[in-house]
Amino acid sequence: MGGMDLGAPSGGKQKKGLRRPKRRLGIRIDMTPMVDIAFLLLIFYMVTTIFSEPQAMEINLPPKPPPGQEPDPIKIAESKLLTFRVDTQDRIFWSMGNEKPDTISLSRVPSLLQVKIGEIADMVTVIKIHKEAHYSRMVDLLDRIEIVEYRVKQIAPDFSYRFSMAPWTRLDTKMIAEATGQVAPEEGS
Amino acid sequence: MTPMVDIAFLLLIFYMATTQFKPPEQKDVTLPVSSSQRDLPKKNFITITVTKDDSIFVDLIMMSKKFDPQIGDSIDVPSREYSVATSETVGAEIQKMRAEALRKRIGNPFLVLKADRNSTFGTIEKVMKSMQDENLTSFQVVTDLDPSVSRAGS
Repeated sequence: MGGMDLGAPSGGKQKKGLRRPKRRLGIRIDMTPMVDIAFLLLIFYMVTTIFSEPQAMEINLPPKPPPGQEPDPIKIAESKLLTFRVDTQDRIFWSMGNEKPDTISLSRVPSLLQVKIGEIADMVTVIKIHKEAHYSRMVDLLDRIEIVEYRVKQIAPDFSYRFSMAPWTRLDTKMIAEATGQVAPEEGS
Repeated sequence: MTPMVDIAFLLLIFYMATTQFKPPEQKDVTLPVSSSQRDLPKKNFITITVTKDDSIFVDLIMMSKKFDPQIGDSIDVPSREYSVATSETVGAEIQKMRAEALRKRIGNPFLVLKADRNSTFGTIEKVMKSMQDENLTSFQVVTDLDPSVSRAGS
């Protein structure tokens, strides 16, 4: 490793004149190892620093119904019901009431919802996700709903988006199969 | 002087490497993305972790007051309880953790669901059902911030 180099004694440089001999010692420190270590530290901190802190999204589930008592089904007019369905391949389908489901890309969901809310102020959204779909789809859809709620609140401060999650049924599988023109695969609800 | 500097830095690195800023993560989880900008609670929370192969873990991270005879005062000590659960037992596991937290007098911990974006929805659905059965109806979902989605937009 590096060492400390002392400058050569100044004897050789001495001139015969009246000038005093230089008594200063020339010290040269090899900085390379220190710089190495400094960079190592720098890299360590750069690698371990987390720039994006994870965020949180709040979810409130409906309370458990008391034992032996089924909750009253909430009746909603078909014309006010928008259903999102996510199938096994993570495709998103939307439909109003009992209409035929149609695919939609996630990026177009907020504008669709905004248009629909413009038409029907008290619209209710139901999200149905197939068991084999990925969980990220749930977060995606809930997030888009939150975005729309946020945007509408800019105009109408007391607006609150009504939505709910419902279990996927055999009927949904059938509807999606019909909509995509595929034969419904044989499977449990 | 150089060897001294070397040793000094070596020690520094040793201490930095052994210092734990956060309790280590058990599992590698790729979070889903969202536009949500709410911060997670920093301490006293129960995390329900769901990995991409749908295994479920419940752990409690808390700061509890412990009496330190050397200082002669109570200090905050981080601790972690950890358990493996199934989609049926997860609600009960959470209740156990909550009881543990209450026993150590740390109030009611927050619930945080940290699930991999590629875990199946069926598992999450069962976890939520199990939590609902235990009347744990309010929780936070951990997500990464998606910069491509803005709330304000058109």
